[in-house]
Amino acid sequence: MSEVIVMPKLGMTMTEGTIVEWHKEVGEPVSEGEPVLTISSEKLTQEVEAPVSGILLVKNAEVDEQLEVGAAIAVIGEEGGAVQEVAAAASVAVVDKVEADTAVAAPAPVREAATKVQGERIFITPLARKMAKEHQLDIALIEGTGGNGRITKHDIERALQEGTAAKAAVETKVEAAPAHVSVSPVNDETIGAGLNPMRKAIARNMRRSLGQTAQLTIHRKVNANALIDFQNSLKKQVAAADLDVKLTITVLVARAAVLALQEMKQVNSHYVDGMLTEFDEVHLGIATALDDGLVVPVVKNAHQKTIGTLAKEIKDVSVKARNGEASGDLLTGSTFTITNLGASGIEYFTPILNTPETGILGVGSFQDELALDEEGQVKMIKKIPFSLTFDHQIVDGATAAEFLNKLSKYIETPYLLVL
Amino acid sequence: MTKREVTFMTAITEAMAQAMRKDETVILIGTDVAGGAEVDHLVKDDGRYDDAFGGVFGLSKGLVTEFGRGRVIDTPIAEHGYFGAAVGAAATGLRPISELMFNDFIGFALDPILNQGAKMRYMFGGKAKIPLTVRTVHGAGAGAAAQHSQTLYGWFGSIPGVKVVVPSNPYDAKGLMLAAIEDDNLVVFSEDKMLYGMKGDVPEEYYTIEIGKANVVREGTDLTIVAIGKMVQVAQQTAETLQKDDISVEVIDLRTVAPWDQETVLNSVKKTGRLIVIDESNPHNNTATDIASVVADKAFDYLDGPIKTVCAPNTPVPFAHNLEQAYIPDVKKVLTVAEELIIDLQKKAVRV
Amino acid sequence: MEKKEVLWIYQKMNEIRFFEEEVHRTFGKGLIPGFVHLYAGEEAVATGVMALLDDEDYITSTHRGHGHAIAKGCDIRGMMAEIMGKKDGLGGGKGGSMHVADVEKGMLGANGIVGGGFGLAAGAALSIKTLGRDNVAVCFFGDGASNEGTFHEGLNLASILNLPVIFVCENNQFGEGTPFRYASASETVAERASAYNMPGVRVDGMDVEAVYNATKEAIVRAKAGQGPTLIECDTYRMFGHFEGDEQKYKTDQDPNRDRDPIVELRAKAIQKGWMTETEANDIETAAKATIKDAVEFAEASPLPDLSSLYTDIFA
Repeated sequence: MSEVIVMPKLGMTMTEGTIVEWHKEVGEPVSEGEPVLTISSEKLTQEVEAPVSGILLVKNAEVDEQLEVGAAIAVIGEEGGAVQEVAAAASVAVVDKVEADTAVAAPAPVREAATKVQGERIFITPLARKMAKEHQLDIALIEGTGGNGRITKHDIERALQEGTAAKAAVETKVEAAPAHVSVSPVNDETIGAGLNPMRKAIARNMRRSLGQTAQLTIHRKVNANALIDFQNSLKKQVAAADLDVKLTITVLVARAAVLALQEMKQVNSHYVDGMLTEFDEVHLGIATALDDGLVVPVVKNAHQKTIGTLAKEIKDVSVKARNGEASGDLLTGSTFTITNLGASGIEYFTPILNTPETGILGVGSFQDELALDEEGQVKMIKKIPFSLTFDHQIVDGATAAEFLNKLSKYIETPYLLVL
Repeated sequence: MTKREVTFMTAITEAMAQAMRKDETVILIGTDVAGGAEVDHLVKDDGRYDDAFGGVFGLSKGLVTEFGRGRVIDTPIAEHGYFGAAVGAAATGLRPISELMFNDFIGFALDPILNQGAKMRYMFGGKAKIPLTVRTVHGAGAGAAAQHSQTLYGWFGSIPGVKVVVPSNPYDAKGLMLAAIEDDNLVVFSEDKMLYGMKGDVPEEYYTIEIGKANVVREGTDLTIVAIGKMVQVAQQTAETLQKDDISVEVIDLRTVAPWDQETVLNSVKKTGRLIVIDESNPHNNTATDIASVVADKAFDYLDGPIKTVCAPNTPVPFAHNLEQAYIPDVKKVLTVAEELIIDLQKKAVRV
Repeated sequence: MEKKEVLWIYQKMNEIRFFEEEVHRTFGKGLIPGFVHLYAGEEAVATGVMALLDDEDYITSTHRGHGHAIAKGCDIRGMMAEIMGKKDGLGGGKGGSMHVADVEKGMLGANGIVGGGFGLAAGAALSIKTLGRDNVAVCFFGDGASNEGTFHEGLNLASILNLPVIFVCENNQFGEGTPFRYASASETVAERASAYNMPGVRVDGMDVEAVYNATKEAIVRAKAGQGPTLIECDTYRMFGHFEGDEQKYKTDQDPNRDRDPIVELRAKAIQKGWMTETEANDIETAAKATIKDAVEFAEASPLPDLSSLYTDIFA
């Protein structure tokens, strides 16, 4: 039994691909899923995996050679297998398009290989699609057993029960997955190829974000002395009251950001599918690092929370996210995101928008600076650096600066945070 | 209630008789609903009448004897005329049952239904009511060929102002007939001629079945089959067959074709995620396609497969027995379309 | 009538009678699906009219159409096969008894719809007139159909358009189980012709010569551009409305009940010297053989291919 590897279609417009590199030589054993070669189209490069385990029997093209989509590239089979016939079939396939199509369509093994080509339409029932969305399953990883190879409710339930790759992909996919995913100019199916599911999901989200927004980051350092004093005094009161609340700088910055966002709704908005929505309510995303990636759990209705509640909820969602207990609902719907690299000693950075949000606030680590006080005396102060990335399609630099101004006001005058 | 077995025909005859006893404004009008008008030897010694036909299928046998020719009225073969008269009488105090011998003859009787009876109340601002029951006969299987075998209840059902009921068994036939006669609107009561001999439990008492309400005749969780009239049996047999493969089928007897019971059908589909509608009508613009359209719209996110309709082909009803049998939806056809829907649930192959 | 015509008429009358008696038996054996309406008793009407028509003349028929079809020259084997729902039937087994047709013979079909033929015949006559042909269209209908609205619409239309059509009413006394005298406000169908400004004649429908003569006159008028004629033929059906009808509505006083048009023609033809006893016997024997052959042919014919269910929907 031999399997033919065909030139995959990477994206809707690809018509031919180029061999970039062979990872295996003829006669070498390969196992299923192992990369056999790397190919590239105009835009993308991808490893082509072995559809079955066996011996690489035929290489049908050399490096830099171009083949039409669907043309046979290689044959994998048993040692001493029907190399000649398959090779003949395969070599015919590269001659021209018509013959290539014939060769690909005719023998069953070729067709099987073709179904693994990425970017092919996935058939899924409305119910299964809805369930997959609810459970954040990656339908590309679920096998459809319904009529016409359709993914059905039954398949989704099985995927959930088995906790298979689809499910793993899920938890990560939400990392920055906005509630609405717009049609991306980048072909989602090809991004993150060769990565594990978590990385693949992150890759997709990052690429999507960069691909469909006009991101610009501005920076500003703000005097944090008052904030630190305020934090200390609040901590004492919390301890005295024996409240189980941890008042971190992130919590206070979050509160400040919520107040600033309520004044600047342009920054608390979604831009998706040609529609801009500014929100009254603030659902705050808190970027949270995991061992092998990151997720963004969401504190819903952050604008209605006091500092104490906010502190509690930020802690709750972060813990859940780290333990992998976050449900889909907890991981979607944010209107603005805060990401804090302060613990890593980073001063400034350029956060990537959590699309379709139009703003994300990066928080750096405190910086000691010498400054003159009112009396002209040199004094050591702590400053907190902010990096605000915004979508320049929606928000202009002046507006973004205005947002940072308002944020600074709350940081420098922290009693406003409890008003 | 007393229980006894009677045929589908008898159930309808009994319903008409009980309605006529209960309400003297109920009349029966149509071609040969008695038969033998003005034939001397059909007048009995006591002055009452015997009938020659009692309807071409004998469904109104005996009614002229009990109620006289003043209330069981033979007409010339003039459907446009007597249907117009039935609508006129209904608008002015009578509660007629008007018989269209075969629904195929609707061409001759349509205007009084389509443009008069169905619209008067609306056009007159609610100041008229048309308590008219149109009894008619549909369905293939009797070898009656292209002009006597069609299934046209869906046509009537597409007219605003017309209700359409299609009973599937003797019990429903009686209850729905009495409900149709009681109804203050134009109700088409369409009987499948192949069901006339079907026997079932029918109480002797007067009872009605709510028009507009479907009947869940079998509960299930994997697949909903909505069926109309004779096709309910096909649905039941399909359910039995699939049960052997542990596929649990919910069977809904639609009972009322217009306005059909969206709530019951939608709730069932929301539970099972899969829908087959069996309707002996020709396949386009019929009740099945209407149900499919509404379900696709209102239960889209619950669908776990395409909505399937099993209908007659887009051909006239053929005469030859083998062609006619091939024309009528049957268990085999339903299983064939079911297979695509349940292939992911199957433990064993469907017996097609 | 000429001798040749009489012999033809006597042959067709016998073929119709034997055909219908055979169908009656076969139906009783359960070999024929659906409804069958037999023409026996009314043979003088179909043959008296058709003796004057050829293949280019059109007729529209009724649910009781076997007699019209045989008299119009339809293949008897094909008819029998059609009625049994066989592949070699005139309609491939798809039409059956109520839809026997052969357009090439000018037979536009038996018709399951009472009153369905009036407009069709007017239309056929319109073709004849517009295309300048020297033919006529004949609409056969029953007394029952005379009370449909289409009777009145069809006659009026044919009259105002001056169409070469002949409306032939076969008044067999009953519309299904309802006597004509109850169902019609007018005493005869023929007298209604005056309302549509055309001649209306009532003839003895058991006397083929009377039917023949009236038809001949109507054809002359039609072909001369003088428009339609209504002929009412007073007749009787020997069997019920359909096979299985108890015929409770029939009485001994029914007109024509005791008459048989075939017996009457035989006597009259022999008496007038149109036909010899031997010729009559030979015709009867041959007609019987024709029907026997048709039955054997039909029984041997296979059922239609299932694929034929889907054919002939569109041209």
